[in-house]
Amino acid sequence: MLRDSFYNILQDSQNTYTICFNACHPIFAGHFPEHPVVPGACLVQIAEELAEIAYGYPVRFSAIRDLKFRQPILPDQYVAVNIVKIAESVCSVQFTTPITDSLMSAQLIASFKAKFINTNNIKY
Amino acid sequence: MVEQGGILSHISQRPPFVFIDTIEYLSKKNARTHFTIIEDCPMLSNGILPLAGIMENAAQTCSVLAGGNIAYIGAVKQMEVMRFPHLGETVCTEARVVQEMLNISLIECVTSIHDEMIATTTLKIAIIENNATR
Repeated sequence: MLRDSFYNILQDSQNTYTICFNACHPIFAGHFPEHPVVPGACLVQIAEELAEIAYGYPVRFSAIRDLKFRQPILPDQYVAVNIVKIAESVCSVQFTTPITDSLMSAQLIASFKAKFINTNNIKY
Repeated sequence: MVEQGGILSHISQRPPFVFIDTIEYLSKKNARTHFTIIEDCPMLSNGILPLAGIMENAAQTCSVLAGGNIAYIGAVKQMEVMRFPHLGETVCTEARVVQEMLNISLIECVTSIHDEMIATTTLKIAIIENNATR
């Protein structure tokens, strides 16, 4: 679980979560020394954790499609995460720069589709 | 066989964000690594390694192929997990370069536990030369 240690949720509205990162988290010391960036795989983990909040049950991603990382995220950056259910057990995830009132439109950082399972319904 | 410790000369990631322990095999286009899921793994979630952790393990196996240069995940075309590894289990990941275009490589990874395939991942890896830290 990365929430409340690696990142925090600042705002939550209509399946869009604004998050910030903890620049002192040890992950940044290892990825990478001298030039810390948010690991791409961590975005997937963050989306899984946020999907759990959005849907109100324990969620595990079981498949990913068309994941694209368009720009790196620095530890002091704020990011908006939008999670939309597009079919039964499939969601579409977009990471963008935060949506502000200014004329600047949000820039896409990363996007993907994920198939997920409700872990209440399965046994390991 | 590259053992723990020596692994750090093959990848740019550093603890605690290291998702491979040993390299069993390495050639220009193929690599096979092993990784045991321990309590301190930063991606561990309710005692299992979630999809994101399996993805990072695959990505770091790919970065072994980058020969110590920094390898970023540019894209994951598709990934499927059949079973999630538990704490204490060791995963074996085999990466195979299927295509190379400039500094982008298309790589297929198969992750298994005791010869049982548990995940497949197709990634595009961007390689950035990293002479400064070598």
